[in-house]
Amino acid sequence: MIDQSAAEIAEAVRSGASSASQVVKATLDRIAERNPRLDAFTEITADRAKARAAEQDAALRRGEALGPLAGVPFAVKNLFDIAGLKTRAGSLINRGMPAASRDAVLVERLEAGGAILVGALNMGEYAYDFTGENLHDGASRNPHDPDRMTGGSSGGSGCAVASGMVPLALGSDTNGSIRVPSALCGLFGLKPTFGRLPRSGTFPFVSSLDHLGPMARSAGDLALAYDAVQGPDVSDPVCAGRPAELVTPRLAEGSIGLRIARASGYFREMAHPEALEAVDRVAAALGATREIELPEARRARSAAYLITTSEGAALHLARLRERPRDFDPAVRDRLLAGAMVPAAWVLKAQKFRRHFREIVLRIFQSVDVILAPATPCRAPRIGQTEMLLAGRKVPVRANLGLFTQPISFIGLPVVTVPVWTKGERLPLGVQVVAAPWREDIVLRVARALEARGVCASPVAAWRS
Amino acid sequence: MSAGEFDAGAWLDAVAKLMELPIAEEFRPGVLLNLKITAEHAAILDGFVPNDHLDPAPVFQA
Repeated sequence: MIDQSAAEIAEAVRSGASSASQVVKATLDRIAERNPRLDAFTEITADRAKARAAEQDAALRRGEALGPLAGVPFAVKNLFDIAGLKTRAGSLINRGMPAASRDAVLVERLEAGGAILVGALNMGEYAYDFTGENLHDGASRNPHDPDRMTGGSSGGSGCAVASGMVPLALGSDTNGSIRVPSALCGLFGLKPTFGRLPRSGTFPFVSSLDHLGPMARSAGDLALAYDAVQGPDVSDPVCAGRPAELVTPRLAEGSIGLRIARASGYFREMAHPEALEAVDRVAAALGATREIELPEARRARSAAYLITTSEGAALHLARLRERPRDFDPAVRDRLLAGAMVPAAWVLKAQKFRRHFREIVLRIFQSVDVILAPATPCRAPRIGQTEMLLAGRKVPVRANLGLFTQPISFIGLPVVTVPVWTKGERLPLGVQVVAAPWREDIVLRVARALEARGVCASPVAAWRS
Repeated sequence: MSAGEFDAGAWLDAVAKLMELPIAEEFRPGVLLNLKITAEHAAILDGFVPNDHLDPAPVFQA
């Protein structure tokens, strides 16, 4: 039952074929079985989940209609506030802060739709990470090969969904932290337009670039979750005042009529052949033969890097001064360097952000969808610090997000779709990118690819 | 100073002291490496000469 999609679970609970309590019990049993080996969860909210399930079952017995996510278990990256828990954000230091008094807005909205929170998920420290490794909580492990990285920083989110512990998780994405683990764990992951979803009640990293979004094993579940959490919230000043634009009713419209192109240049120079082959398969399935260059993508990545390191450092400056030894050294050393970045470099990067946005918006006058690899390669081994890209040895931690950074830099909506090669155990991801506010397009394309059998997200095989 | 001419070691020694950043001896190689990487990224932006009237991306709205 719990290997089913969120939509199927909700249908079973609404119809009375399963109870929410049965779903929650099976989920908690599954987590107890798999989490000790995979390290996805850092906290399990069992009592809360059982109480919430009992409420839903009682509501159904009273004849009340349940929500679109009735009884669907979900979990959130541990930078989301959960009332009564400390929001650790992958850090040791935050464990000394007071517990959250209220859930994050996106948690409230998913639960308002009937979903049931079952816990908090492992992540890279303070979200400054693409690996899914965490010095304090251990690395979240890739369910398709536990010796491999999940990718990060929403590594626990990737692991929990791909291993079948939950059908749905929330993550955050500043430079690729939803898309990288979605790619390496073989999931559908949505990074919506910058400003679409409120970040209220989450621990920040880089306010200029932080996004939240869902990760799931189907495009339909991604749309269901996205629809449940849309809408403005005044407590996040970056959140646009746009009303919800529901995608689920439009999913079946598919990709017909859309102008689709592969990204060339930067996005083909640095990728391993298998990552390009994944893009080409997706393009072929969509009938996309056109290639399009995103000029200045390399500069976009560099500008995103500068904004990230300096804003992240400014956020943590007092903690860096007072407790430098309580950080993961890999995070600390980057933040200390970021604290010393000249202001003129950062402001130039922010001006470039405006300039690059204008360039890319012009491109979207002649194309509706751009396809690009999500990562340059499959999941590296846990502990691996270097990899070869275009013949050069480069650090893994900074370069897994090479292709995601230029896209989120200007806030474009993206769904990462999972692609498998026959005979290979590990998946790859392809970014399906559209113009701002067109989440409907990227989700429709993801659904079309799923319907054509090109993309799929099976629960990882479990060897007990 | 353009980013391309940036002397990361000299910058680290001067600025860390002025900013009272606690860079212990064993932190220095990691911080220096990251400062060099940051300067490489800044140098990639050297060729971009923004128009004086180009607003930075985050524009505050009252």
